[in-house]
Amino acid sequence: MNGPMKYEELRQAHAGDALTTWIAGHRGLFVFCRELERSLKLMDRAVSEGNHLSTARQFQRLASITRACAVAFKVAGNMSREDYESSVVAPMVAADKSFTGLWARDHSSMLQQLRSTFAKLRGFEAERSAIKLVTTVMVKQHERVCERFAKGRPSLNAQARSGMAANDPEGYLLLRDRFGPRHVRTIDR
Amino acid sequence: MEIPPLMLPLGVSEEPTRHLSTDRTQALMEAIRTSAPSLIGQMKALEAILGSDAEKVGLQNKASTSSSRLDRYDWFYLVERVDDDSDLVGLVALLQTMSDYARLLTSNSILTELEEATLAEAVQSIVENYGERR
Repeated sequence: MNGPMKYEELRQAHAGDALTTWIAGHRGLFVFCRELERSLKLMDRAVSEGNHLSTARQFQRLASITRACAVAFKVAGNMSREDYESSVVAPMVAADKSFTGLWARDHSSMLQQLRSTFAKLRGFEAERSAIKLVTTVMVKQHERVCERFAKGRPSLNAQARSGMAANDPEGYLLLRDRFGPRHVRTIDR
Repeated sequence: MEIPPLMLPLGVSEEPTRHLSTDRTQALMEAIRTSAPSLIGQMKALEAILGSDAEKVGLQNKASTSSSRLDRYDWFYLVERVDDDSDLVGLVALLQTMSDYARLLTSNSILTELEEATLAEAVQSIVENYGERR
């Protein structure tokens, strides 16, 4: 390979539309997941400080980011099961035979923070109910996607707990070179 | 093993300013608040406010670590660089990642207007949270 490839060249070389959707969709999804976690931490702080104005603001922001997560699940999974198997799983497995598509440490961290913050919101019953509602929508959307693409396979959290995912350095490097968030500076704008 | 040329260097490059000034943060929040209710419009507003600072921040590929086997795929999502660093780096990461995302949404009619507005509202909340932390 002579020098860094530009994003379009990489995509044409290695990725079809479904894979591009899967990659870009997941990156966007995980931005929202990360920011949801950040918002939860800010709410934690506001509640601890007894800052009711800030707490109220965080409820609003948390709700909007949670709804966005639900939408982002739809975006990331915007392909048929057939396209997922042929255009996402196949090239990934070719590079890394242990690839399952069910990996996400950031995701687990967000869920952990959600449980932690939710437990601290005693006395905010209306807000707790509202957050519970939008969180349920988000989780259901996630379940719909998983049901379509990974029916019968272990969940993200089950994989994380069991450590069943392999860790093959060569596959990791190959995947990174082909599909990674490479070359941010060379992405065509 | 020799580092492939596609890898970005680990760590964030030159970091002349860890935070946006209060004025720029206020301008950013106002620009996002009044921008077109689309991710593309928001990212253009964000890009305009960040200006050349966006070019001063290099995002990294995350190295595989031994703390968790799941780490190996974190790099994939380019979300790793904003947990423990400055507002500026976080906003640059937001700009670069969500600009790709906005282009994806534009090139495919994936979402309804309401769903896209939901994403835009969330981005506004995210930017406001950056202002909150000052």
